[in-house]
Amino acid sequence: MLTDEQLIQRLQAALERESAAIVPPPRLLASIDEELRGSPVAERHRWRAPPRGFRRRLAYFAPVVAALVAVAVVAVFIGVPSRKPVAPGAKRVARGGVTLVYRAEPTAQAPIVNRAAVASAVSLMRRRIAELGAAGVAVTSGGTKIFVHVGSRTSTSQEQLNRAEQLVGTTARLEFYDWEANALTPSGKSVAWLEGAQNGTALAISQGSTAAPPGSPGAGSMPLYQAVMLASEQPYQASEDNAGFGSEYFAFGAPGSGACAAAATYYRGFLLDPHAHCYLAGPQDNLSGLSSALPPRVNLSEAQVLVVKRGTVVLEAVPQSFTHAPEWSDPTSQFFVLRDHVSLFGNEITHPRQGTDASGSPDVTFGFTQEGATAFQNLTAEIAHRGAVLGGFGHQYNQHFAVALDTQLITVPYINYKQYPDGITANNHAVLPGGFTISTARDLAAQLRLGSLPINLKLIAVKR
Amino acid sequence: MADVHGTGRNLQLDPSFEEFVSSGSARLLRSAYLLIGDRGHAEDLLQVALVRTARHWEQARDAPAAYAYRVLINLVHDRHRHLARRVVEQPLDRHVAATRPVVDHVEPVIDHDAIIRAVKLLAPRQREVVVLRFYADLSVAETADAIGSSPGSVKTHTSRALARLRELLANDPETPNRRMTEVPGAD
Repeated sequence: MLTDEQLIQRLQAALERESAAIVPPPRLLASIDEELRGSPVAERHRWRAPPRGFRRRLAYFAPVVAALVAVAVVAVFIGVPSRKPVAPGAKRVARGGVTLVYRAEPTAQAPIVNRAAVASAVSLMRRRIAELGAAGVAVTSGGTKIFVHVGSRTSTSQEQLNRAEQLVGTTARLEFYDWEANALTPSGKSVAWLEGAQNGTALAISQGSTAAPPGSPGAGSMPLYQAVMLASEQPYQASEDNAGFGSEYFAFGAPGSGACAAAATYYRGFLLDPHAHCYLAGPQDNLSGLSSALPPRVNLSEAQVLVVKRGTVVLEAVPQSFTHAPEWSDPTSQFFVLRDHVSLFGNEITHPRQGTDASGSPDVTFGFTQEGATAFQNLTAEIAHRGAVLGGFGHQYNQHFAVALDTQLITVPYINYKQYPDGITANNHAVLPGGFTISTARDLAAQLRLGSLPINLKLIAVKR
Repeated sequence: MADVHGTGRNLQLDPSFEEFVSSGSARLLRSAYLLIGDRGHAEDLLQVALVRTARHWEQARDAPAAYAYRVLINLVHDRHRHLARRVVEQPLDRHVAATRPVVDHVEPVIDHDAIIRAVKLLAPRQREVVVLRFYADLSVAETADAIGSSPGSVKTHTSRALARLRELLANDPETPNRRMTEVPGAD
């Protein structure tokens, strides 16, 4: 038998090895500093040593008793509103107003969700409401939850709910990717890696076709299950240019399973393919979140859980129009898998505004900050150089960059390497074309102007 | 090593506190992780513990580690109380084990995973004592202070924790009994 000393030695070694990969988050001191300098709110929630003895018991029980009495009075004389949460996707329009409950989640820019980050997000959401106009919408917060109250006691229309979700609940994070260098083929290799060898799938993703330009459905895109499966097979690769922060969890049901039948009822409006895996829930940042986001009567044990580790993103293909927010549960949606190396973030653009192109179609134009202009020129120069190298081998393949908003590709334009061999100097405005309406282009421009939310928001409940 | 400093920021923190965070936050975070088993929550607890320590730095600066661990243990207790009122969360490793890369370390004497499995099965107070004494390297007196108990009680918990670990390791279905025996030259 091992002696106590030997057991302790091995215990220590095991504990060291188990925790060796855990390192403090970046900007820890800055977060603490922000928290300490933060606000009267932080001061109100200051931890204080509890009083001792009788006073301690009194101090603990008095507020509890007072709260119970208050609740009893409310319940008897006013009535308690239903608090049964309704899962995301099953929005209900209620006579007494609706509250969308979001959970704040960390991002690469704000790796720790603290009160300062939540307060900053709430402030930005209120500015969006004030600037873009959303009648009857109010935003409050509590801990890491943000509550968006929509409508009044008399009415809440579906339009109000949709508008509140679009204005308040979207992160509005814009990212520029080198398309060929980051887009992955089903083999897990990048398009740029395989394109020179004339790989068919790589060419489809890079060059698209007349009917399906690069980045759009049909140009080498995949259904969600295949995309998430491919993404989940990629290794963890954390770097400063990641748009995502942590792992993302998805749940899928087996073809023809009871879970898929339940999902079809829950995510109503979408036809179910009996021969394909169906979407159940995700992306969530942990299993408990995933479990709570599943359709009713579906357990996690029935689901296939896929984990997309940091360093890889799944983006929805460029849609025909931007009138509706992307829905993961739509089985007709198509996706691409990219290595999450962002060349240029949305905080490096300036003066976004709604404009129109030569044909009168709405678009969004913007300029760049000095750093953004440099990053944009570097990005386009790299792409042009790759195009020139391929051209030197006799392959006239245009190379592209991709612009993504949150989880959706917006456009995948190409760089003419003959015209811009050293990249594009971003002195003039850049343009985001696409299937915008005037109002969706104006909303996007305003959201970009106000900046992205510092945190991610996950809709966790809709309360009446 | 992670950059625990806010790059490009003018911090208004006491330099000695910054030094404590730089030198001690990793072990504090890992202790939190070993106590609750969830990296994200461990980071949350670390930040709250350090904020509270910073707020009472004048009081904590003489023995900052002891103070921070005391706050951390209180937060762990709060979390256990909070979790007791919630639905049970499923352990992460049950579902993601298949996606983890296989680590090719052959351990002929005793299985690292078996020990960690056994530690997770210890009673909360026993686990706290094990982590604080054998990982955070606190003395009996500091451990007693951190968990709000007496030194005698810490010794009792330690003894019982070791006995329980032996029992769990002996009965671990994935740990053959030979692993608990000495192999000459294994070290």
